[in-house]
Amino acid sequence: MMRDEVHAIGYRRLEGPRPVWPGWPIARTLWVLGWRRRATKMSLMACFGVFGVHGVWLVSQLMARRYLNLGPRRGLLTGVDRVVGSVHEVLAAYVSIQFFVTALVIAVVASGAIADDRRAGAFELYFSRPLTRLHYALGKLLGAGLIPFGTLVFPTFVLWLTAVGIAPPGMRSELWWLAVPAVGSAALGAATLTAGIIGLSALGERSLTVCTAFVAGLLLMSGVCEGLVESGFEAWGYLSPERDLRTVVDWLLQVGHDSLSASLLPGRPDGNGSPALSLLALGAWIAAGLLALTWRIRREVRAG
Amino acid sequence: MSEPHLSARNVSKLFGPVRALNDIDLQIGPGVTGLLGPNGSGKSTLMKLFAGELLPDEGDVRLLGHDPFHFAPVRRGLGLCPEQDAFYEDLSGYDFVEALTRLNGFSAADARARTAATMKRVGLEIYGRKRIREMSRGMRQRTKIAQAIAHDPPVVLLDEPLTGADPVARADLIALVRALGQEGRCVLVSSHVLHEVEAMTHQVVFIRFGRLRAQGDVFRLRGKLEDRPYRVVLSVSGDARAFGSQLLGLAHVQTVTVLADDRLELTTTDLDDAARGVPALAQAHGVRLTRFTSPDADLESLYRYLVSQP
Amino acid sequence: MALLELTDVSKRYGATQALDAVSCALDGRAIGLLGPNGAGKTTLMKVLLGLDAPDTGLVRVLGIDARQAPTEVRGRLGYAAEGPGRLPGLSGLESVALAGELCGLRRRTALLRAHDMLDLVGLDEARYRLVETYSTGMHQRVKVAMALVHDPDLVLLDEPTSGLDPESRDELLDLIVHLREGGGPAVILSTHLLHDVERTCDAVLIMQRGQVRFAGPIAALQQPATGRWTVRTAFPAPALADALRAHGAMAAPGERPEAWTVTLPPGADPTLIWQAAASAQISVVHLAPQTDSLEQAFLGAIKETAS
Repeated sequence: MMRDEVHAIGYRRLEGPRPVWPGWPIARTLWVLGWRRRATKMSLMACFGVFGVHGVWLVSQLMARRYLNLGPRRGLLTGVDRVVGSVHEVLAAYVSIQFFVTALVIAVVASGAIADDRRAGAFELYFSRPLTRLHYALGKLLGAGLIPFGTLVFPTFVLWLTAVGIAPPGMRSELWWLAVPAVGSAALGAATLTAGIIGLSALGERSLTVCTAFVAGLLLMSGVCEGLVESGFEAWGYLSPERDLRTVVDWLLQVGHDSLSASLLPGRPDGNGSPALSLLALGAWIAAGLLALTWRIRREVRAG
Repeated sequence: MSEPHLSARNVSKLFGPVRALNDIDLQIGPGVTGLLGPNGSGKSTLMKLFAGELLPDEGDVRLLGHDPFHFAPVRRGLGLCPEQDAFYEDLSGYDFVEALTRLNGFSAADARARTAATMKRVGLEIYGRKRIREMSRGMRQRTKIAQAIAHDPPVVLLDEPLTGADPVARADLIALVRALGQEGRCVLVSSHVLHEVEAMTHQVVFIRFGRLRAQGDVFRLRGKLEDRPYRVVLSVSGDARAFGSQLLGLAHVQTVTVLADDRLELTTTDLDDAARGVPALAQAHGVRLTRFTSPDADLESLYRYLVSQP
Repeated sequence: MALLELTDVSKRYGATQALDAVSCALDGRAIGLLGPNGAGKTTLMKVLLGLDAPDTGLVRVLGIDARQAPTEVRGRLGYAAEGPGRLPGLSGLESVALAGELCGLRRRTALLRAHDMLDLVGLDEARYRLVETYSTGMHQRVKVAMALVHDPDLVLLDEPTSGLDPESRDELLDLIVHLREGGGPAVILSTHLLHDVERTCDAVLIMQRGQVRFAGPIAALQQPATGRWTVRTAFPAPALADALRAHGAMAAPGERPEAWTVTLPPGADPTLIWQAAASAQISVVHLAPQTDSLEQAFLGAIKETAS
């Protein structure tokens, strides 16, 4: 039965729980804004392309081994091995190449993470809510960090899983333990990129400048350092994050780049002399990024 | 009437496809005139046209009888206080006003003397020594007004001169604007705060959608809204009910309501008439009239009407 | 439980003593926060929010210690800051929803609540547009909606009407009255427009140079001034003053060109004013006993201690 009632649509009190962790909406906003840019979609397609090429390489290599019923032992370079390379090689190449493409994605999406907030005067809006500086920092890092997780870490894992799945029976046990170094090195790359872009965004003024500086800086640094190493200045190699990562990846996966396929790939020269020093250098980059973030937040927000 | 200080004849102005003003026909003489209208209705554009900063697309704008855009010397007769906050931040208030006064063709000594006098007038005698960068919003507004009046212009245009000023500065600046009008200058002042416009002047120009919606005396304009009768609330000592029935006999009175034993409310279409008739009637019937208020006879109700009706 | 309790709160920025041993306890549904520029109003709001820790003193908001539990306090406060600050890249609706989510609301709850609040502040289809494209009025509305979205117990509005045209200001003030009457959050309104406070607030806090000059109900400030009357004529009429003088009363110019403050001789009643007006053929459209307006009370409160 319908009752005769008139209701006021004015201000209502809001009951109910407030369960959401405040870092989460900050992270999600970053992706929502990133997805609206065409450049994000284009660079994601490039990521997908790189993944596809490596996937095809990996699958065809394992299929060849399987059907040609070649021996599983590594180091015994047969003719086929020479042509198609090993699983280790694929994963190492994937991590170090995808590192560059992911840099592009993360630069487009996250370059404004802090810089835009500062320019728009948003800090006051954020911190007048029940939100601490730590929530804000973690939210931004989570938002930026899940991008390389999606384009770098997770696909590496998928490649490894595929390899385990279709490898010839005898080879599986050997591939089993490859997950740790492969995913680990991908995660290291992801952390470097995340801390780098967030740190730069905390220092910079405009998102476009930050984006350009990040990508150009990364390319320039690997180019110049590579050149310097070739001219005999070995120590400069540690300054290029990409070269550091490659050194660590190659060391963890223990590959040389001998196969014909690998030599077709653009630029896989040798890494730095000491993997430990390379790891340290990457750690320094990450620390610098986090430090910049901390400095900026402490400067802009006095308490909380 | 002699030549009006400000005159616009059928003036229209477009910015690209955006309409700012449409067929404005307006003459403004001495005294303070309030320029009212919602945001984006074209108030600032009208001020800029009068100041010669813009050229109208159609029509003719005159400042003191001359075209202010093409005949620059006439702009010396104009003081402009723009809405935006643009200064040479490192100058002191005194230096800023003095420099602008010299630009109006005064000698250095003359400009200094005028600056000193003007700073005193706007209440910046001491704080005017500060650098503009260090001034509060109220002081900045005072400085802007000082530079507009230091060269003693017959026409003063003030675009939102009270924005951001604190209550003390507001009271001072309202008194200053009134004084400028009483000196016989033509002062055109835009503001969003209606009771402050009421405190400055009786004469308003109302612009909406770039068109001239109303101009003239607030009281007479309010009287033209015949479908909106005035409410008048009375307090009397004596028999309110009997007096109320007498009130119905007055011309223009539409309704009388007894609110309490000593309070009545009546509606009338002619407040002026009621203001003469009601006290006379009270005296004739031996009723003491201790309060007479007309809460909707103000600029606010006029403004509401003008924006709500097409 | 008082809305605000401040005990001996001081805060210094470099050479500026922004808050100087502020002590007050305030209660009410709508409180006007008044004071000249640099009086410490914005600093006070930041201290209440726990955005700035005071150098000394105790701050309790809604019974919670703002220094001990700043996030808890902020969860129950809404704040609409002064100025053009916005969340970059978002539409009005998304900004308000995000503000709700930051306070812990679920995504859907926040979105529905954001729509409710935008209806309340009167932002129509423009809510789907980017905040960057908004006019001042729209922007102020979004900021107020953001302050209300999580249903706080107290909202702090810092100059919410600055830059608004009369219609928008009217609507915003009506909203504050609606919150006051309708069981919504209590309001602290910081403004330079005393008229707005008179219309919306039931208590005031007057500050000057970091100190409290008055804290209490508005009625305590507005005592009727005995023997004085406010008289307004239809048009400015200097002749009225002469006519009143001839009848033995004193007339001083009032706060408008057509207003007078009339002091009657002892024992006389307002009939005298009516007679004077009739003799001078002037219509008096307003006659009422004078109450000190908030403006006079305010100027009085800050002048007493200025010298």
